[in-house]
Amino acid sequence: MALLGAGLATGVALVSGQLGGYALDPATRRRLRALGVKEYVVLRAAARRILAADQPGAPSADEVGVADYVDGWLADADPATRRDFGRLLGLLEHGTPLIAFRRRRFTDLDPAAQDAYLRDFSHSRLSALREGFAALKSLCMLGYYRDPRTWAVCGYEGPTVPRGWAGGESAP
Amino acid sequence: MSAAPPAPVQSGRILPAQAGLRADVVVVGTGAGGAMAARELARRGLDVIALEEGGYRTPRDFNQREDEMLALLFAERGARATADLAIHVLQGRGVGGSTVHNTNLCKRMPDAILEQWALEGGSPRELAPLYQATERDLDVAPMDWQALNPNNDRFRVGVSKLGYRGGFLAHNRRNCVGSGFCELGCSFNAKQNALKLLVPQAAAAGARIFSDVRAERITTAAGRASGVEATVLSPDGRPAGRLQVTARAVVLGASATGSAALVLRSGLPDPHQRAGRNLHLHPGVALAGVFDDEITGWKGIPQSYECTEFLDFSPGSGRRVWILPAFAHPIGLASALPGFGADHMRSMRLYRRIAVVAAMVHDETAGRVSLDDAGRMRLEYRLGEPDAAQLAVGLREGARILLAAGARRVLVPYLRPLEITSEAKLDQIDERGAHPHDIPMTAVHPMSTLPMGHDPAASVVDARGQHHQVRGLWVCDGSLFPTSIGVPPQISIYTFARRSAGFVADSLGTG
Repeated sequence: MALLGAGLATGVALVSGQLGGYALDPATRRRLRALGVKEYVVLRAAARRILAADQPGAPSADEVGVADYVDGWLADADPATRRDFGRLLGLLEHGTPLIAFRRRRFTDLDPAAQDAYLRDFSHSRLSALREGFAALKSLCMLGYYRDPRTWAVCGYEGPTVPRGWAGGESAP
Repeated sequence: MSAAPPAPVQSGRILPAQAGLRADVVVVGTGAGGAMAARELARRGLDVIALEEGGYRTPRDFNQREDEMLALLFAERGARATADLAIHVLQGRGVGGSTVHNTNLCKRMPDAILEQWALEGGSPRELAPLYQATERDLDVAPMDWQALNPNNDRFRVGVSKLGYRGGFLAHNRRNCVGSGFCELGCSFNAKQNALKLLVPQAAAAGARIFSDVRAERITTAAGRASGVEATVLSPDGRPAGRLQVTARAVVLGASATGSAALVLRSGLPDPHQRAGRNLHLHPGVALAGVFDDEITGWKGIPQSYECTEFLDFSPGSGRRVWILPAFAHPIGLASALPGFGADHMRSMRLYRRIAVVAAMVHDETAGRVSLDDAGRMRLEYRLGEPDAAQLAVGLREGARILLAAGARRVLVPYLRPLEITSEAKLDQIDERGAHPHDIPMTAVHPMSTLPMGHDPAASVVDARGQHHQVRGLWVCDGSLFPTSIGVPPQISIYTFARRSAGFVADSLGTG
């Protein structure tokens, strides 16, 4: 899968000057399979906003482990997809000056500013940014709504067969 | 205690690391086309080897968990897209191909399309017996009132109230329990498909079928196809061995994307540069109607009713959009609904009261399967304006149907979402249109990349499915179709594969 076109590489190179300041607890750091620490921190911050709840009671992205799931998904993806996703996260983090005329990087913005920036990003005139955001959103939705704890949000009743169902021609 | 019957499919991993096999025919792919060809050829007494890149899964693997089945049953784990990312392309991967996850729609090729193609031996009258035989094989039968789940019934009500042309669709299912998880593989083995029927039948007739084997290159000798070089894949998809199959004929059934990419990778003669071009996808869009009462659209049989009011295959009709109900489990719907954050979650809370309608275009746009510098497949496809206009008609009329069916409002998932609450506001859809990158698009019917035709300058294979330049190389999947066909292709792929298999057998002297 080509998550992002090669055209984004130039944009990433222009804005990815900042490094450092990305802290992650050792246990999470040890679990990472595809993402670097910085990429994980950016993804986790984006997932928190993309999956922000409308009311109390919905599991948070952190509770469901969305960033960890996406990290695992990427670990099983082909190298080009991992590379493209890394570029996307780099652009998301450091594209604030170009995309939204903001001086602070994405993870340093407050939640309201992050939402506004994500909206700008997702509505960009550049189709590659719009589609990049769509890919990020899809992976976050995959990581969230796969978890049975989230199904109460939408009233989904889930599978009709239990795990370990041996297959057959009638309902269990 | 009697021993369990042998599995019809073996993993290529059982073979030596550097293996060589001989057969009369090697078939690449085990979806509708490949499985049908393998069965027909084996039943004619030919020694057949079939190779499948994906794994061999059975109903006990189909656990209805959306995330796990996306990874298990779909190419690129459900994340395949056109090169510009505008269109999400869902294709099956594994024994049975897309017949494992499709919704069982069986709709014959329209007569007008066949007449337009004007292929020798390919008239509606000549193909009718082949279609009938395939439909008997697969227990194809029309759906009826009992099959209508609330999502489909609301759609039917809307179509009926508007006086639009509509009707029940035919499906290939038997003993269906209506679980509603068709697109994640049937846990109840009710799909009368390639995986359940044709693959075991091919094996019973003597075909050797290997999963986890990726065809890399078609080999030739003295201008004829002579076999296939392949890679055996480990469980994590890495190369684990090499396989060389030497055969008198090679039959491609790896889909309009996979077969075309294999032909391109093989560097076969292509003096008119036709291979991979002419890609059609049937791109589609969807929209959601919100009702006062519960729909629970994921339950029951999907896609049992259709609206053909805006689909007319007469030349120049200008009506090229097919409208039908659709639904998704939560991950699919969440990805398609616009926005993010709290607003998005508020939309998800409507899930049980939503009915979904999709519109698919019988596309004129011609894309292309190509290879990048590393030899990886690319799907180049830029939706043309006439096709976009058709999809806009589909959105508008889909919204009209939902409103007629009683929807309080219709959500059109543009990048900047549109909410329609009355017929008077439908012209807002006309103003917005249906443009790539502004509304999610999905395609599930790639076709036409190795098209049939009498003229070698305008086609890749002849009217029987044999390559114009490389004798002994045959195509038996959706790549064959010279144009978009405007209807779900599975029953036509089965049928054309049956037809081509007869020609292959004849060419090898066993017909």
